[in-house]
Amino acid sequence: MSFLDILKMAGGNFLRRKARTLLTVAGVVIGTMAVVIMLSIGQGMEKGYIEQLQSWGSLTQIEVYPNYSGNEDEQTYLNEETVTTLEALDHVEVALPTTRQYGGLIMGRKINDLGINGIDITKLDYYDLELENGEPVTAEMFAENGYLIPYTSVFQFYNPKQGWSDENDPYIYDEETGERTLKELPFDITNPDEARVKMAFDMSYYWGGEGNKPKGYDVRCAGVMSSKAQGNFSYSLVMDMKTLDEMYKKYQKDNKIDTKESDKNKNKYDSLYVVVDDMNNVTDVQAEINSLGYQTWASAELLEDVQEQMGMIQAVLGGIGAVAFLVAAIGISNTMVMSTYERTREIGIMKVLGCKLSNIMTLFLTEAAIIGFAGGVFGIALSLGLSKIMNMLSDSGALAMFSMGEGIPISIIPIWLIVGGIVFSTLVGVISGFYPALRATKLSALDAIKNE
Amino acid sequence: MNAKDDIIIDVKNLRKVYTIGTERVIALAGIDMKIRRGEICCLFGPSGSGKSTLLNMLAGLEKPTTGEIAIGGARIDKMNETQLADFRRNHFGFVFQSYNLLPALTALENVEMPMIFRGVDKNIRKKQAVKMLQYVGLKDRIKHKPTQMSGGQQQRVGIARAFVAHPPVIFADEPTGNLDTHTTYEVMDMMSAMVKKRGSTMIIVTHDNEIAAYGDHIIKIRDGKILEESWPKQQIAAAE
Ligand SMILES: Nc1ncnc2c1ncn2[C@@H]1O[C@H](COP(=O)(O)OP(=O)(O)OP(=O)(O)O)[C@@H](O)[C@H]1O
Ligand SMILES: [Mg+2]
Repeated sequence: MSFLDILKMAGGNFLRRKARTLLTVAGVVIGTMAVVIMLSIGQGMEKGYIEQLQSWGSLTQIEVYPNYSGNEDEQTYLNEETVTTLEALDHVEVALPTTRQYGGLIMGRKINDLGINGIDITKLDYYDLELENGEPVTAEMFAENGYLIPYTSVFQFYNPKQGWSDENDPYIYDEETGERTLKELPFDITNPDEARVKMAFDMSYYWGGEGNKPKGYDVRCAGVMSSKAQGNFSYSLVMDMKTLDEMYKKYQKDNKIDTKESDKNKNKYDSLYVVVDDMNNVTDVQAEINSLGYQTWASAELLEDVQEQMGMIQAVLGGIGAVAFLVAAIGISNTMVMSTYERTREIGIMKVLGCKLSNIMTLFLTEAAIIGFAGGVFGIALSLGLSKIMNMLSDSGALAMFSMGEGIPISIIPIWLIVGGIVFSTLVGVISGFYPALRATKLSALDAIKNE
Repeated sequence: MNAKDDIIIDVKNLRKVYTIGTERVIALAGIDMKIRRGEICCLFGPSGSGKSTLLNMLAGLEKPTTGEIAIGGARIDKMNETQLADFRRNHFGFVFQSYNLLPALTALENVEMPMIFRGVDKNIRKKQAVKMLQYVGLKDRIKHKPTQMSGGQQQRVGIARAFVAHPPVIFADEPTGNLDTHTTYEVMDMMSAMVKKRGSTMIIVTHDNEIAAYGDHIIKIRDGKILEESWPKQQIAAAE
């Protein structure tokens, strides 16, 4: 008996008992949906966590610290040599140094307290800098004391005698919904005619501290960084580290600050990030850097914990869904056993006529598999719809309490879940059909043909 | 042709004992018989004599308690379920008293059934089934379901199904038991003509004298034993 004939026969049997077949399939649909929706919520949670981690720093980056052991021999520093050493390691794409000073901008009577990051502009591409106007960041921008300013910082010039005002808030709040929207930039800070801005390194005078009014140095704003930027560069200025160093030295000289004292700090850089070629190599590279006597931190470390926890949550969610699936599986078994009772005579006749037992087995398994498959397909289709509705409700705020964050869907159904769901439900169908199929092959051929 | 060499069914000391609780029912109490190729053999006897039991055992549907059954030299009493199914599929055709058509299938599909089990190509088997239905006079009923046909028509579908795959042996247990006299003759004529035309062998169970008259070889059975064997047509032929 060819499989096509078996399939045709199985189909015929369904058409004879439409209502019961549909009800059984409905059970599988519900079971599939329960599992898929539960797992999709798990997927949404995982994605939310990973995005949160990414917002704390790229998952392929390792932050490197000097060893603060206090023991002079073991003391390590972040300097050019460190960069060379780390860049020589396998899987390391680049080591990104950053220097940092504290100071601010002065514009007429207004000041703006800010950190100032110095970056190595030869590695500009790796620093992840973006401009609000979408133009690319180029090395030329940093020439002639050029700097970049975060979007929100443009709002934060204030008169120290008057303190902060509403003007300094970059957001507008909707009183009803509490939603906040970003304001347009108040002036073009890159235009020196509109904004005459200088940079200073000690703002304590303005806060009522001792000493003189700080000397402002000529700087040139080369661009406003993207309002969507995250991490360090979302609240500090960015300059070429050479420029920053020169300006700071000038400041020290102008203010007769003892440079020897500050030279004691042999850390040339204030922070150092290592970019690894692949997320999966982060742990290895981290271990190697540690063995060189540095301390490290990578958000990928948290990722492992998160993935472990997510695995558990997914197992629990999947387990809840699996209960519904178990009920569906029993439904399939029940339907198929009923079917063997009803078809005792038919099966007997088939056996008398010499139908192979394996054909009868296959026929029943196929019928069960079709129920499982059909339930799986419809279950996935409905799950995709339900998932969309859930995400729409979450976007509109109705289910916001379950959401992991703005723009992150509650429910995510990846391709593997679609394929896996259908394969799984078909498989459950086959397994549920096994006992009924076995029962069918064991029916007596003779009983069937004896006159009723 | 040497008649002895052309034995298709050879039964030796066949016994069948049913045990129900502590009670033992001896359905067949030692049967020895030979059936020649091309014969129409009638198992004839009163109700409860063991005819059906004997036929079922010859057809490999039931296991003997003791004894041997050889069909075309193959010892079917020694076969397991799977081997028996294969043997039935390739060598036997069946006609039943209660037709035993598959209710969900059309006449055509029912007739196709034995060839489906044999894995015959779809087009070939369809052609053959149509031809067979035409032969039994049901050409205009091929798309009908069994419930849409009379008993006589159903039995003709049954005959078409039994013969369609050209099996060498046909088993028929009271094939006309549910039919009126007129239809009985129709059906019996049809079957015996087909058997003769093809040179196949048919074992037919009956307690009806009229039907026994179709037999070349009549085995009278009573209480699980062979009471008498006769070859009436040979005697007639000899007398003439
Ligand atoms: N499965 C069984 N279990 C117990 N006894 C059985 C079984 N099948 C048949 N018998 C007994 O064996 C004997 C022969 O039965 P069988 O069916 O062969 O008779 P038969 O000649 O075909 O009768 P009929 O003409 O009424 O069909 C009967 O006494 C019957 O009760
Ligand atoms: Mg009988």
